[in-house]
Amino acid sequence: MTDSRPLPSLAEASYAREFWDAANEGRLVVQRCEACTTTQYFPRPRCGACGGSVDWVEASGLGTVYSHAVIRRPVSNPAFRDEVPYVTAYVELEEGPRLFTRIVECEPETVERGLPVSVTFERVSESVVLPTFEPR
Amino acid sequence: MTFEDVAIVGIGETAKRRPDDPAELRSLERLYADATASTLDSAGLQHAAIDGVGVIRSGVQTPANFVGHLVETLGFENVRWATTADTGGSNAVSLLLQGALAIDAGIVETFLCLGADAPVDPTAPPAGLFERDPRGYVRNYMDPFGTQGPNSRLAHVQTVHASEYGTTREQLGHIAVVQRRHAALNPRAWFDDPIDLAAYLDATPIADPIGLFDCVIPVNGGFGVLLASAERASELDVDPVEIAGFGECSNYGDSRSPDVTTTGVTVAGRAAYDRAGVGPDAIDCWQVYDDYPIVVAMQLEDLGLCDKGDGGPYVAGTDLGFDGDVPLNTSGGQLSAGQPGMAAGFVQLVEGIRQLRRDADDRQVRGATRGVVTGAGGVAYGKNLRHCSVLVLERGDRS
Repeated sequence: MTDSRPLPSLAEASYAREFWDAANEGRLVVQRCEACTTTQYFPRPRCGACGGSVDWVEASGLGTVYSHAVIRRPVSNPAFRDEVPYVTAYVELEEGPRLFTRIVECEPETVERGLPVSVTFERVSESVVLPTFEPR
Repeated sequence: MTFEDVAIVGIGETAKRRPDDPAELRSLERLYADATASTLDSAGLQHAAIDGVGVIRSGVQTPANFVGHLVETLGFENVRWATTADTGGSNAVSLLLQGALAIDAGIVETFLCLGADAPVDPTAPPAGLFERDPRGYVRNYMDPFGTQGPNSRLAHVQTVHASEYGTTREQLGHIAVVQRRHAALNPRAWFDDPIDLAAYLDATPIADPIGLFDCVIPVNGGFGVLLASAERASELDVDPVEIAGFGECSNYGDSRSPDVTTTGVTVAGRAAYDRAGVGPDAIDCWQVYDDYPIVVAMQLEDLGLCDKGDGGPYVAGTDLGFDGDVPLNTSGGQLSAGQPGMAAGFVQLVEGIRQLRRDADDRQVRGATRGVVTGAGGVAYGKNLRHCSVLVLERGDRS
């Protein structure tokens, strides 16, 4: 990992604070609409389905790989050059939303659609922990 | 007809550049100025005839009210309608529609659409083009995990298309190969050396399944399209092109459980066909936004050329040459003519008009009278194209 690895701008979106605080404690949370009960990810100020107010609920941390890519040339984000090849994926959570993440603890070529995965947490700075996923 | 009182009367295009010497770097204003001169020249009009001006939002940093700065710099006076389009790769079509609306409403008689960008800057880091929204999901929920921009994001889409429908790289490679052939026939294109399917398949892997020849070649360049009222157009010595139909669509589909193999072109295309009163059988040439071959294949499905999922076998089994059955991206497209940053949509728009003016020289589609142009701006989270535009253009009659 290099020092210039991009980090989330925690101070900019106050409505997302609970997501990052939870990750810091090793918990995965997603937003749920108080009006229509739709769950959503990524964090937004209001429900993307109906515009209602949102609250946070604990996610099981279980899901399956919906789509993935094996990164071989870090063209846009050179900070990851020492980590290739690695796998980015949208994981479909049991709660419904798809979450963009990284699949870890496996050979990149073994990842396929539908692969059952579970959340794991990777600390990348003093204040930031990322929810990544590993095969289960 | 949609805009009966509007005609496209001019197109312009600068040479494409990839400067490796900082001293050679052309300013954005220079690209706009050259594009303007080229466009006015093609219509036989002077600066003073322009009373409406629109620009795109470039990737190169520009000040607020850039359109105002540019109108001043280019020397247009007493402009009565100045506007900006900011829908990424859809912006060329969006700007054209803004201009057509202004003419249709009787606000202006002429409207100059301009798009230029300079993504290739040897003095800037390679990823320096697009500044991240500090509150945006790319900055906060994608970058930290190692996303590699559109290359990796369209790789995700292609894995789903391949898994659902069996689409192969061998099939999609036909798009890259035919567009390179077209680029070799286009003196304004960046590449002029052909590639074959073996070269496509052997290309450097970037983000599996995306390889090097699935990616565009960034270039610096500028474009223009000039609209005029039908009355004004009738005074000019040009072959007018008409906007027969159009449609746009932002954030297509169910956000909770999106089908990432279907694009907003389904909605935008249906609107464009309905307004034009024609279907895909009536189209002579296709300029389809080509940031990646998989994006072209999905749009061909969504435009009704084949069933959903059959894009792979369709492109492999169809002659897509300018002289073939379904002429596709006859300039070489962004894959081979070059992608000029946020002005990318003009690659398709200008070539679509050029073909209907029958001004495409060695790559002219014989008898071209009706063409489709698409634009696509950005990739939405967990989906595909964020903003889609479709135009049906028709060759008009000189009056």
